[in-house]
Amino acid sequence: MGLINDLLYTNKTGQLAKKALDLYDQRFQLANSNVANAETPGYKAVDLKPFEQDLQNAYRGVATLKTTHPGHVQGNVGNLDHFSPEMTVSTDEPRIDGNNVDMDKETVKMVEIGTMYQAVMAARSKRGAIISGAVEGGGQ
Amino acid sequence: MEPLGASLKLPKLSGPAEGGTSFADTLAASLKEVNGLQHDADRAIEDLITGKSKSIHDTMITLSKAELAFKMTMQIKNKVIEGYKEVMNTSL
Repeated sequence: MGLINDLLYTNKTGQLAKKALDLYDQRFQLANSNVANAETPGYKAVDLKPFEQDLQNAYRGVATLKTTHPGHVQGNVGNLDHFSPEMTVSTDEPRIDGNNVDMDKETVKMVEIGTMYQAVMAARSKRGAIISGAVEGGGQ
Repeated sequence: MEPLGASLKLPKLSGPAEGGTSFADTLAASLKEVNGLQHDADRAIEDLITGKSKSIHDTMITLSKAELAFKMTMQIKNKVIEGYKEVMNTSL
C-alpha cells in the first residue's frame, strides 16, 4: 500500500475531515445517551469539550501540551491520530431527582452535529470526486 | 485589385501578438489559477471543521468552483492532446 497510500489517502485535509467525522460521531453518541437517560435519577449530562480550536492546533502541529512553568519544554502533539478531546460532565443545576439533562439543548445539539456531519461528508466526497476525476483523466 | 482579407487585421500566427501574452503564459497562468482554487477548497474544508467559518454554503460553493475548474482543465487537456494527435496523423 506504500506508494498508493502516499499518493491518494494521506492528504492532510482528508485526514482532518475523517477525524472531524469521528468526533461528530462520538459527540452524537454522548448526546444520544443523554436523551436515553433523560429520566434516570442522578444522571448528569455528558458532552465533549469543544474541540474545534484544539483540533486546529493539532492539525497545524502546534503544541497543545500545557506548560505551567517557564522551564517546561513545549511538547509537540501535532498528530491527529492521538487527538481526543476530554469528556465533560455538565454542571447545570439538576432537577429534584438529581438529573440535569436538558432535552431542548440535547435536541438542538443533535441537529447541529447532524448538519455538520452531513456537510463534512459532502465536502469530503466532493474532494474525492476531484481526485477521481484526475485519475480517470476527465472521461477520455 | 486588393487581395481578399487584406483589410482584415489578422494577428500573426506565430508568437505573441504585440502587447499580448503568449499561449504558454496564458496556459501557465490558468493552471496556476486552477491550482489555487484547489488550495482554496482545502482551506474552506479546514475552516469549516475548525470552526473558523460557520457557513456551509460558502464551503460548498468554493468546492464546486474547484471541481468545475478542474473538470474544465481536464477537458482542455484532452482536446489539446486530441488536436495534437490529429495533426500528427495528417498525411501530407
